[in-house]
Amino acid sequence: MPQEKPPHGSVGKVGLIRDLSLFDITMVGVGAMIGAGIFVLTGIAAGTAGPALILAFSLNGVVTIFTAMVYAELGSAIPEAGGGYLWVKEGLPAWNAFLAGWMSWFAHAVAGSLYALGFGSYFELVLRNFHMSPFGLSGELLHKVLAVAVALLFVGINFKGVSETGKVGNVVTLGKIFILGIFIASGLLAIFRNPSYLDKLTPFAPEGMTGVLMAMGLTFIAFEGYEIIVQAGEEVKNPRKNIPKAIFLSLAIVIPIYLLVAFTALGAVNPQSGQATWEWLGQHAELGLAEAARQFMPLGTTLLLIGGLLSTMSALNATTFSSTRVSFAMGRDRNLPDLFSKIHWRTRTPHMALLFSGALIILMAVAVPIEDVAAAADVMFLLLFLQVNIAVVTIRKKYGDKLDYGYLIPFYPVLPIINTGLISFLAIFMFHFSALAWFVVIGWITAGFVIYSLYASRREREKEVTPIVLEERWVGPAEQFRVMVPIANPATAELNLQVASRIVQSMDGELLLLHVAAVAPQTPFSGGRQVLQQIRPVIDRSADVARELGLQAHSLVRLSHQPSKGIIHTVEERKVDFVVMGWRGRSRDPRTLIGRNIDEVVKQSPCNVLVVRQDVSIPARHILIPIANAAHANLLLSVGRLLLSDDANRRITVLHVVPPEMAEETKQDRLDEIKSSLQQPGFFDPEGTEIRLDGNPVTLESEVSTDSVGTIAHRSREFDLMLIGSSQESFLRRRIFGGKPYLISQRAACPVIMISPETSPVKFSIQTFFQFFWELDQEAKAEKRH
Amino acid sequence: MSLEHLEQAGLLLPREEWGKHELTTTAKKPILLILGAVALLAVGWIYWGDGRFLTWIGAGLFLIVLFGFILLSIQAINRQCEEP
Repeated sequence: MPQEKPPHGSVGKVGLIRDLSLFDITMVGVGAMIGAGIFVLTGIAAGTAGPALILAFSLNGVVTIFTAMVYAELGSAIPEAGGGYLWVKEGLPAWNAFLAGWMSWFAHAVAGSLYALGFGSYFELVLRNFHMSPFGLSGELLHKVLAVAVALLFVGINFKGVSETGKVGNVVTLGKIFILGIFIASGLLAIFRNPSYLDKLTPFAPEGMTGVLMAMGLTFIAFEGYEIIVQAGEEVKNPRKNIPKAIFLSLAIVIPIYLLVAFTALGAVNPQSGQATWEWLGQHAELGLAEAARQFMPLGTTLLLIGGLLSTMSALNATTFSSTRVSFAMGRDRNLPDLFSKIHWRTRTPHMALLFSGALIILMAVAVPIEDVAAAADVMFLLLFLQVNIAVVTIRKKYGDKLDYGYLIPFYPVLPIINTGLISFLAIFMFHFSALAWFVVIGWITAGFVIYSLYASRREREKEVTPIVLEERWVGPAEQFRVMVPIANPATAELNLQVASRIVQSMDGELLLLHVAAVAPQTPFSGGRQVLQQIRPVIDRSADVARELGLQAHSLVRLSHQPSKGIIHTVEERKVDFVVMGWRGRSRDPRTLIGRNIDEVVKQSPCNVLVVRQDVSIPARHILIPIANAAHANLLLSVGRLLLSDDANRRITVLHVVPPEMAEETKQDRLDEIKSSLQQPGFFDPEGTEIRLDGNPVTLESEVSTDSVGTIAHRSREFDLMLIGSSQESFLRRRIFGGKPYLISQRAACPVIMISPETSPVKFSIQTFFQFFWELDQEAKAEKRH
Repeated sequence: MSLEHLEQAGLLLPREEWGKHELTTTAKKPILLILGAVALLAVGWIYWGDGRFLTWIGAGLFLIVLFGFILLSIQAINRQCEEP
């Protein structure tokens, strides 16, 4: 293989050549659709739905058109390699994008395996007709060997380049349209001569709607070729116009062909056995169409075999192409290793992505019972389409009219919403068709989650570069309890360091001093040295303060376009347990609650965050901890005990305010729960130490009031410090410290420290997911107002 | 992919045009609605025809609606791409 050379003239991002015309790209879509689906599955689907196969194809056509409209809009606006995967990445939270790509790659590759095996079956039949047995092989082994051979052939053709791929594909696609055309014409002629044959099409749906839905699920894979059109987005000339047109034109060619093939196969055959035609076709299963052709078409079986071979080859070509493009796009986005994004210097094709996709196609073809995995590919396509239908709504919200659309879906957003319902129904119904398919899907998705959390998410974060320009550390154990203090101003940092030092000392942990130097959004991360010169005094001063507090500090300086990003990256990268941040007491920006950076850190950091108002003085003699329920009560009390002075009169009052209308029993239960949580060994305490609530120094008090905020604010006059946790209200209502905690902190008569406790990874993911949509909505509204 | 990336990839309109376009389809919605209703009717006829004459009328009607829809969509793309 030739040496890797950088592509000529590439700057940063690797790109592909735009040399597919409207005709080429339409043929790519048609070739992908008229594949093994129609040749192999027509007989089987007829046996499932009966003559209502025509209805199943029509309904699949409707579902397909709805999603195709969404693809046309997005494909015209964002015509980049990756298609559906890319849009989900753009319009949904990050893990959805990874999963969309992961599922799409698998679905296309497995569809390729199905087509390779379909080719093997047809070619084996041809050899059998000629009484040939290459290398003495026969049966299943020959079948598999042929599948591997044809898969390798198309990997080679795809390596040659997209232009060659397109030319070969066009010839193959036109050839099979010609053969199906003869099949349809001969069938219509036979029906015209024997109109009584049509009587056998009654009853129309012998298996009812269940049979129709099962046939829809079974043949859905034959309708998803437009996905492959958008995969080639980066290689299409004038993509804004040609991609949506190619999607619609390919459907205009394919759907009528499917309906006519089903009609002629069901109507032009007169089984000698006296069976109903649909039963006869079902009995012949994957060779049903070839057997039908034998009855009414000149050179029927031979031509159908040639058609089957051409179809499986062109579909294999298209799926090899698409699976390669998805994995290439994932590699480029650092969701898969970098080698997936390499482009061969001579052929300008993503050869490594092609190699891996080819390997996956061959592996699945050889090792796995392909029928069920093909059904799994169907479900994965449906799940991908489901995400794309949601993404079209969020992308419009996110970018508004900034994108240059070549087509806009009508009846937005009703159409994608209806489509989401239809697709969900069909995907769920597939369980009825093949439970194993769903198990494979769940297995693949679970594997995807594992890869995402252990590998891809980290690399994704690395892509959002916040380079480190200085790191000074003392040697300590790698796995240590870490408290991080982001420092912007050494004068205000002192208080945060005092709070942090109490936590570090109690846990024998490590203090991490982070300085994030903000670089203007359009400015590159060069000139780190100059930044370092400016920030050096701040670093040294902060390290001195830490030393005075008896701590060895680990200093880190990084550059970022947004300070919160630098902080969040460090939290994740260094596995920080606590972040201590300072707060002036009010936000200068009306769009934020506490402050833009603090808001972001609290929302996006999966660790405990302490937000210290700058009028706090520690140690404190009298600390008030308002508690609404048992959750996190223990953490709040533990922090309170760390910040409490040694004075003889010191006290911590845990205050629980209940509304008067609350039933006595509920009130008591809640109080008991809080008591039990408070008495458990504290967060920072050695095991087994039970906390007593006897006033020495901790007391639990309960007050009845209709105005909990007012009562707590009033009581705060008696205290030096108040610790308040984030509310347990629904996260959609809460938004950071929104709701009561924020109101209390505003009205409190004493200084306040707000604590956002660590969230479990699952809850954190769910919160982040919904927050994504909420923020998108808020941004869209803000932009509109602006 | 951020706004900057999309801009670098040449996928965004020039900044001075932002906020000046309505995101409305150029497809003829009333005709699409009629076609949608006819498509529903056609699918209904395919099923209720029970393999007899009505089924084939339904199937034929479905194909006509399909071609009509594709034609309208291609026209909508042409209009959208011609818009200044």
